[in-house]
Amino acid sequence: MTSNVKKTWKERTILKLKNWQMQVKEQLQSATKRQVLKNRLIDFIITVFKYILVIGLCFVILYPLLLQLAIAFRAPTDVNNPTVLWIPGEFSLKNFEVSLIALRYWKALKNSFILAFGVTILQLVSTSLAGYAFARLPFKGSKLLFGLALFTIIVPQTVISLPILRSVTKMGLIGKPITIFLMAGLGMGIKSGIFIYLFRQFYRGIPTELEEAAYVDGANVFQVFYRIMLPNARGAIITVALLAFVWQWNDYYFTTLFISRSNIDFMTLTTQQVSVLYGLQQALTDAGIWGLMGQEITNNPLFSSMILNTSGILVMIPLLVMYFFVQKLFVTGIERSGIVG
Amino acid sequence: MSKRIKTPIYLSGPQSEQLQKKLLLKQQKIQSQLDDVTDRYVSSVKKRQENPKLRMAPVFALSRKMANLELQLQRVNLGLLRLSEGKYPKRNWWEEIKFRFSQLSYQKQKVIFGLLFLLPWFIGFCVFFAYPLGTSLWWSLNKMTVVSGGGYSFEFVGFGNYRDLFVSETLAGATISEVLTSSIINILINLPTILIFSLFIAVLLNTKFKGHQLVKAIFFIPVVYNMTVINNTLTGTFGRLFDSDLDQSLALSTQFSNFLMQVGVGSGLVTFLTDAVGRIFTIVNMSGIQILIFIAALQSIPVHLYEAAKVEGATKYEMFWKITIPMISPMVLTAAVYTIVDSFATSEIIRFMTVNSQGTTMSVNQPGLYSAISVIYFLANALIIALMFLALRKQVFYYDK
Repeated sequence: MTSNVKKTWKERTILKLKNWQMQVKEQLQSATKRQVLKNRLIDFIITVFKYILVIGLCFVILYPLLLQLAIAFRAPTDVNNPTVLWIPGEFSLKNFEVSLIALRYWKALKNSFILAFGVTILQLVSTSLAGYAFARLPFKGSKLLFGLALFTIIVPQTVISLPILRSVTKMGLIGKPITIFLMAGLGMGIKSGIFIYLFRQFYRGIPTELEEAAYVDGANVFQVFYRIMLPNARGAIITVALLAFVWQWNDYYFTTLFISRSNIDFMTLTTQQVSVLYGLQQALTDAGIWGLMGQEITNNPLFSSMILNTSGILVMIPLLVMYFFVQKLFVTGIERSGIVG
Repeated sequence: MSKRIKTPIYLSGPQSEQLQKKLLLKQQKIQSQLDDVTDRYVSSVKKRQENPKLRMAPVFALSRKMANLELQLQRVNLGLLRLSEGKYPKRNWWEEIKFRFSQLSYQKQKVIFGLLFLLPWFIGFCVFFAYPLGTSLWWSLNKMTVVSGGGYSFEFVGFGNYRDLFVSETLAGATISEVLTSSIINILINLPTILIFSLFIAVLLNTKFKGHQLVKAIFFIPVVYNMTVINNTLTGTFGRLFDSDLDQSLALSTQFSNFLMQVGVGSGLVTFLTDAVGRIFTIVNMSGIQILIFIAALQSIPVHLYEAAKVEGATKYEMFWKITIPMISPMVLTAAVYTIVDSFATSEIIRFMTVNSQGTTMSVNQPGLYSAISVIYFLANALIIALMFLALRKQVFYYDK
């Protein structure tokens, strides 16, 4: 029975191959068909090449992430073990415990979220209003103002940070998150100029007929902006919101300068991450690991490097999780936004 | 939900008399203005009938003015009519503002809304940009020393700070001009690499293939991810250990170069290739936003251009050079500006600004010198951007011009 099936399968395959051979031969006879076959072959090769390239680049991007994860789960006692490379010999969460304490994680997480959310919303409001004004509400000199808005992109923040710090200190706002909120709300947050540019280009891409129809129906300018333009600008809004959130989350410069340097109690995850090694010894004692592991491990620079790495993961995890939730919106958002104009 | 309808309250008594007086005065004023303008209009029309070579623009302006005045007169008359009927609605200040605003032309309403929308940005611009920028420039021309009890004493030195900067200040043995040239050269190398790479990736991602959603999601991770964190891992103690472990047998680049050596490719080419492989990570990480910009640009190219080209028998290669590149050229400029600004922000010169040659924080002890460095930094930045604009100006193609 089985041999019978095998034989027919063999026969069938041979028949198929022969058939295919015949087809190819037939196709090779006429010039157009030969061209079609050639094109198809080239397409196939290009596709294979493309996949290899894409997979390789994806690997390049994911490699440090995987490396970080592999190191994070390694037990502290395996620090010097040369046989442990990728897969941890002993699965351990000790690194996370230590890092959580060294980062003062939950407090810093709360602060990070407050700052990033507040800044995102304020940036959205200020930059979308300004972008709309630049795109659709022209007045004398608005082109000059737009030029100035672009100029703010080019000037590095280090040029203006010291005088701002001085005037903020005079106003008594130093060490409070309201400083950062104020800057974001007044359209001078991190890279606000780029957001204004993005919104302007986007609004210019929306057909004027939409607005005119609304004007004819008796809407005023604000109603047109709020009811017509904003719902259509979803792509730009998502892009700007994500970028504003991420850039605020990863910001070290402004947060340290205006808040954390003079107010040690208000720290974000990023500022903590930079200074995590200073709090390491204390954290080790608090976690009760100090006595268990011995000096040869805790004084090892490799160990502190491992903690630095684990805390890096802990800082990025909330962002990555959020990114994977909004990622689809983000990707389609940019595609529809059409930032060109 | 039904809309709430307010029963209107009308003006009456002394208030209405007052308003009537006011309106009558206004009516007289407008009427006299209107008479005046009409006279001028008639006379200027006569002039032009006699001498047709005169410009017509003043006449149009006058007629516009007339129409405007007539409209105002009509409104005042309507108000008077309402008052005489006793049906003039009573408004509080907010309703009055709304009423006045609704009487304006749409063009004027738009201007007012534009100013309103820009107001927060403009305040921010003045307080957090223009003023600090001016202050910084002023500081850079002064020698500032810390006074006991807080504050600084100023001493105007002109360009002395800049001279000091180029003559005496050093960072780890390197003068500022060396640091500047090295970072500028670095940027000039990185800029085309990043642009070409991100354009290539954007074109790749723009086609639909199996799993392109996932690939896009992965490619934008560098936008989200903090570079310093990754750098800590890769170049920190652990990263180096990991690499040295790998180097013995497993490292991709080592294997790659060994393979090439065995095949018989020259060693110069091999080091170039392995260097490129080593840089790929940095390049991928720096080109997240640029890929994003290019994808958006590619998406906005009208499809009919490609269809027409296809009908005419163009190959994909031709279409890329004749349609895609010109259509996205404005965005190349944008991406280039972003790349320059971004790579300057991570360049060596930033380190120059944090610590001075005496090893103290410069921002606190020598704000004058600090400002001078930051101004130079900005000027170098602007210089490169200007150069790039000059170089790319002729290549950029605007569709709507």
